[in-house]
Amino acid sequence: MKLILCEMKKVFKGPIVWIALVIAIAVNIVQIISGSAAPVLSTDIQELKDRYAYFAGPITPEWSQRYQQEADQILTDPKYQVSEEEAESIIQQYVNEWGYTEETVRDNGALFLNEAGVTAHEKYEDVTVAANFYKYAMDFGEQMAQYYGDTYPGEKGEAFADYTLERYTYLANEYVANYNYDFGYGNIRKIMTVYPYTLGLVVLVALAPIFSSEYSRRTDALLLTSKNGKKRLAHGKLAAGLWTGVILWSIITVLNVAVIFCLYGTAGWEAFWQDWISTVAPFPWNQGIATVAAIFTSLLGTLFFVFILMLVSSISKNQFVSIIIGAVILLFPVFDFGFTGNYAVQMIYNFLPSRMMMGERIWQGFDLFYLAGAVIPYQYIAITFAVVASICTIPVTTHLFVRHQVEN
Amino acid sequence: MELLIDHITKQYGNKIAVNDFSAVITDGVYALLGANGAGKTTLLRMICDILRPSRGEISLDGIPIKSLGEEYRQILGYLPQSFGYYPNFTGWDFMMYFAALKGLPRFTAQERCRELLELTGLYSVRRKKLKTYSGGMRQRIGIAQALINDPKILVLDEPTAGLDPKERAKFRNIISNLSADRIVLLSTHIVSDVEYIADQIMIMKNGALALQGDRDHICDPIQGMVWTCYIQPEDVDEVSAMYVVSSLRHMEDMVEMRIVSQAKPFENAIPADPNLEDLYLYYFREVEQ
Repeated sequence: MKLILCEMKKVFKGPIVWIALVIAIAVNIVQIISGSAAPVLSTDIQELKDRYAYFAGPITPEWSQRYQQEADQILTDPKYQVSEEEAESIIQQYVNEWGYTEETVRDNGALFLNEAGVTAHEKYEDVTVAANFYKYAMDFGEQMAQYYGDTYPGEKGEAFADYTLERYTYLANEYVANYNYDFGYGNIRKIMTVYPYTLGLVVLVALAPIFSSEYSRRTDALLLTSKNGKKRLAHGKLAAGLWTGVILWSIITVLNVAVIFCLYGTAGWEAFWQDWISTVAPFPWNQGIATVAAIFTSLLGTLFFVFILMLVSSISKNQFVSIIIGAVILLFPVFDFGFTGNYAVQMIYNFLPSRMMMGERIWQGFDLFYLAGAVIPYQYIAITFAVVASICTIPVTTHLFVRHQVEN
Repeated sequence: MELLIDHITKQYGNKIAVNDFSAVITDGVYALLGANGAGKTTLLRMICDILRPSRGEISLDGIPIKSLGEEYRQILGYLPQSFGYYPNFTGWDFMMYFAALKGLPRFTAQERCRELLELTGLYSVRRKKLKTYSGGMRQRIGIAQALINDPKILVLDEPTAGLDPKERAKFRNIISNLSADRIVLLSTHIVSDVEYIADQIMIMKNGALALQGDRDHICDPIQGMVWTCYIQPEDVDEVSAMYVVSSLRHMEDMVEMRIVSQAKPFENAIPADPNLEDLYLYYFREVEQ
């Protein structure tokens, strides 16, 4: 315990870790306030909350029908219509410039709304999309099942298709999706997408030198000739690194969650999670559970990075080399370098610490592995890999430090 | 306690840093004398088990030190030739850290650290950060950390580097007081550091043990080879080029030179008793030639 505390003291004693931490926190807060299209003024947020509260509830056929009717009423309400001259002008524009038929244009009532009508109607746009939650689930599931059946012949394809249909059918028929304001939970997950740049860099600066600085600073000879200076010290450093990762992650995450909940509130735990654009996985989660999963995944990703970084540190002779190598491991998958469309590379990224550090990212997609006759979503394999790989680095890192030769 | 160094060799590619070095070391102060690059540091690192020999073995009371592991390090104290430190640690932090590394319980550690910081004259600055310490102060704290666990085998590599004459004298006294019932092995190229405290002197040359003997007999090989001569000032350069000159003192109209030479160099040369400095210069002047 004493050694662990001493090692943590070494990490936190220098100013550079604290400077990096303050910068990371500041960047996160700026991202929370000014990032994405989320409103930040308290009046905007309250307006959003009120709007969502009006529609809040489980998505049922009655729910969908009720709000579809309200949306349709706006389209036909005279107080929300443009004048006849303006309507004629709109029709002519669409017919002459875009080639639509007059009948098609007239069928789209939204084109003839005045400003008040547009404002009133756009409140229903998101609701209209949400109403199709179950349809999208079923459509996606059937498409993926078809894809697997066509792509993988025999038993494997059948297993994939059956698994896929089972999961998405559950989502379409049994799962109850709730509609509600969910900006708090959404923003918590969103801010974690910058963790490789913020938290990751703090961890890098703090832990890249944990072993390598002993070599470059020439304290290795003193350490390795002490009674506890080999295996016990190596384990002490590993434990200190683990706790440092947990502490840094906790500081940043707790602050982020506190700021986000203060700004956006805690409503919306039960709201549905899949948006059927970027989030298509069939896990029957709501916003709350998805956020908890993302938080723990980001912790796991952070610790995975911690263990890899400490392994790199024990190999490097120089703390600057270990920082550079650690930075490449951290940031390469984030920058992508033109591999966006490459399926294999994207799948590999899911097994790297930075993707996991982002929390939600690895949970959003849908892909399956076939192992020993069992169908397993890639997410479970990635998580297992991260845990096993992290554990495997421990004896290797220890061995490298213990066997280090002190030379000129 | 017996430390056996058995035909130890360390080779880096074609370069042999330590060449078939063998010695038996028991309780007392052993001085390892040699020029820069003689292989002293490499040898000491192998004795401390932080550098693997290419050939040979080092054992303590018949057991290889590699097998002893933690048991060996428990009785070992080591001061490297040049060592790093943690700039933001205070002197006290540094000592307590090494006390933890050496397995001392907390209260024992506090007492021991206080005692050693007082011994090395650093107690008053124990709360200051190491980055504010002078070179001599850092060397003293290095000596202090080597003594924390009251080691039975104390290995000191150039321990007086950076110390002023008063500190060096104090260091010699510390070592003399410690030498009973333990092995003290210290390497240096400063003869005066060990001349009066070493029980055994080992001269290392080109990685090999060139000569070993106790303090009273180590100079026997050059007995009858040391001369006091009086030279004209204008002849000093010529004489220095021809002979090993141990010391030189300018007098009123002559220069008194202490020369190491097998044959009597001048008619008026007076035989003198050899000392360790004479021996060292004679051995290493041969290397240069």
